[in-house]
Amino acid sequence: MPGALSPYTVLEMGDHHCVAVLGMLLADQGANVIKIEPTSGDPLRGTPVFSVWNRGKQSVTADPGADDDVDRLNSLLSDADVVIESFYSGENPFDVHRSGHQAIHVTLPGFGPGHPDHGVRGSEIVVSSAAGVYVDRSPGNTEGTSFIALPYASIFAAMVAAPAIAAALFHRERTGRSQNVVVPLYDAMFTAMGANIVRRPDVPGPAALSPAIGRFYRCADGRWINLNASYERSLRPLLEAMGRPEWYDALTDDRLNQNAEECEEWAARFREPWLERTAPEWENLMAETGVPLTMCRTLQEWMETEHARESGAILDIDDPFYGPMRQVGVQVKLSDTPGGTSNPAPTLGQHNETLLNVGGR
Amino acid sequence: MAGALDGIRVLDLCIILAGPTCGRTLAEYGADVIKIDPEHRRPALSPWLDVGRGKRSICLDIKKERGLEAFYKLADTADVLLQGFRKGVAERLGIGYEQLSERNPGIVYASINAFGRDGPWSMRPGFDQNAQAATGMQLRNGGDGEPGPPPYTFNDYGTGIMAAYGVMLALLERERTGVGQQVSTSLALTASTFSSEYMVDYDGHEPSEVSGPEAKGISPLSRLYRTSDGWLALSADQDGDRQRLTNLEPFRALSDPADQSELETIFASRATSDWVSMLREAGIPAAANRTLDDIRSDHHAREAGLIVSQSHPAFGEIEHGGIAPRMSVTPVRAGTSPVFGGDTADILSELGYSDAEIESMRAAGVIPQSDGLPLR
Repeated sequence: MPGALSPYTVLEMGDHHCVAVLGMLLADQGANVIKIEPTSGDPLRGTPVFSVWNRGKQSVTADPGADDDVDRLNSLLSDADVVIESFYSGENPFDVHRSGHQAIHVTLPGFGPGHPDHGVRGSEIVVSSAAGVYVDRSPGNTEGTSFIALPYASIFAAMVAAPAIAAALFHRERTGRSQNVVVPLYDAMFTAMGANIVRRPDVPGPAALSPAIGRFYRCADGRWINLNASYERSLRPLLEAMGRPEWYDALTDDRLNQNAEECEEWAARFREPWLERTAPEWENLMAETGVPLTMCRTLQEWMETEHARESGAILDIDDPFYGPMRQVGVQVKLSDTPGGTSNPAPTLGQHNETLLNVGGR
Repeated sequence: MAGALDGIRVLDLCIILAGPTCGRTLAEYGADVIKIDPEHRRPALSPWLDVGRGKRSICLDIKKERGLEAFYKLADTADVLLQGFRKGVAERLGIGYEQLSERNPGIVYASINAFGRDGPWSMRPGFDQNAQAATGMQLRNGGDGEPGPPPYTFNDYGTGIMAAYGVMLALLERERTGVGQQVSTSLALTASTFSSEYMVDYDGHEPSEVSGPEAKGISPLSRLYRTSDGWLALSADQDGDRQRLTNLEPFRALSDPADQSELETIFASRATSDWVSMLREAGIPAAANRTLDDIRSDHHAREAGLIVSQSHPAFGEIEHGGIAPRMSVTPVRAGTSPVFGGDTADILSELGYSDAEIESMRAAGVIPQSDGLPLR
């Protein structure tokens, strides 16, 4: 079935990961996304993630130094509804027109205009480092800052840009007016920091972490569970399932939340009961009692769950390079315009002939 | 200037972070967002100051007949409803999609929860951390030791923003068809999107990714290095970077510019700021690895509106984050957080309730005794 963005054509230009992810979020909702690639191809070509982030798109190649290519690109642009671009260099090598048409222009620089680092290549590691993503997670904080492999900054910026595009299209539908949108990756991270940034200087933050919230406990099989019994309504069934209902009064005493030492003593007491069952047993038991507890899985284990498949977190695509491939599913589901895709990522220049009328390269 | 969603009314029944982030995002784009809570469900102050911004707040007990009646009147005027209940709860309360769309066919109805509306875990409750646990985010950070959450609640905020995206797409579609539809997303779907680079499987695939607290980067030229006074992020893995690096005096003697051990020794010899200056001057991206305290003290973040200080009429001096998108025609707006329940009487008056009816509702416990309730 068509997606809500089916009437729209998006031109995607750039080598930054964020623009490929943004293109995927738009294509998954039905947009006709045309990926403009250098004749050498996107740098991610040949890697599995290229097949994920570029599924459902069309590929056109163009040489920034060739006038004919730039003319054809501008011709494509004149028919586009949205242009999304993000280059590591910060500069779009193509001399494309930015006015005189109805396209919404969206750029995602690493650091925005006015930032002291504007112009610095905003790679994932640079932006994430500047935005406080890499903290010391080593035991006792002895090893220094820890890298995280997930490209949070790039993907988060793409997420932030997607509703901005939808809003701009909505406004254009109503008024006929187009506009420019800028979503710097670094700025987007302040949305992710969220409540961490909020401060009331006259009010101290919570002094202690409850033993039942945001804690990890090891189970009989050596595996870990994550526990988030944030509400009193889940605390009582939790303690009953743990065989420790007598702990309820002490754990709901407001004074406990102000006493970090006592909370840690309770956390030490909490470690014992979990050793009585395996992590899957605890997870199933707590699912029945409505307690937010989840076994810590690997990503591969998540992909193997029945739930990941049935909930649509995974979809199957027949990729021309990798063959039958399982990938992340569609992030947002609309009941009447579900979008989604069964089309794989395009081969390099696959749509030159149809879109540029110049034959495949 | 008007926002892109000016004229759109949103009812927000969500709690914690993810769902309310959806409402806040819609408010940033200009929607009139009304947060609806029962009097007893008072949120913590920090999340309220963060994701309550730009909304109005009404306390209404929709489990009481007159409360539900008032809710229906509001829903009849609304374009969007946001809810984060577990599957089946909204229907039991009489506010499911079928029930509301029968009254208001144009309504866009968004459901946001932990594990989605389909699949065997759809009834499981959960928070950001549960989605992290389920999808590998925590084991990845923990390595062989105790799992670890990422530093920020990316799933919460990402889910709210993606739900807002879905709502706007449904509104866009409604412009063409005149009818609303259901929108759904979940924390687990967002966690999967963040994991999408590694969330693949195909014949012959061998999973491999950098993990554990000792991880420092994906390669010697895209990595964190300890300096004499902190940590530096080096990003020298693009065309020409190796040459630019070895043109610099400290690296000239390197036979291999990607020799991690040699690079560790060299970077440990100077301060982070020296390296950042030198590398950037040479066109090589680099950044000081910063903590949240570093970011808080960054005057640019305040000048650029990424950290906003304000004197709130009810909560005193507060700080919160700013908004990223810069829209040339329909600028986004940050707004302030309402007082919890502070708009109750005003909103009921807008619906046509008289002062006497409002007082009667107070007496019946449908709304609080007074507007504006304290938060912890």
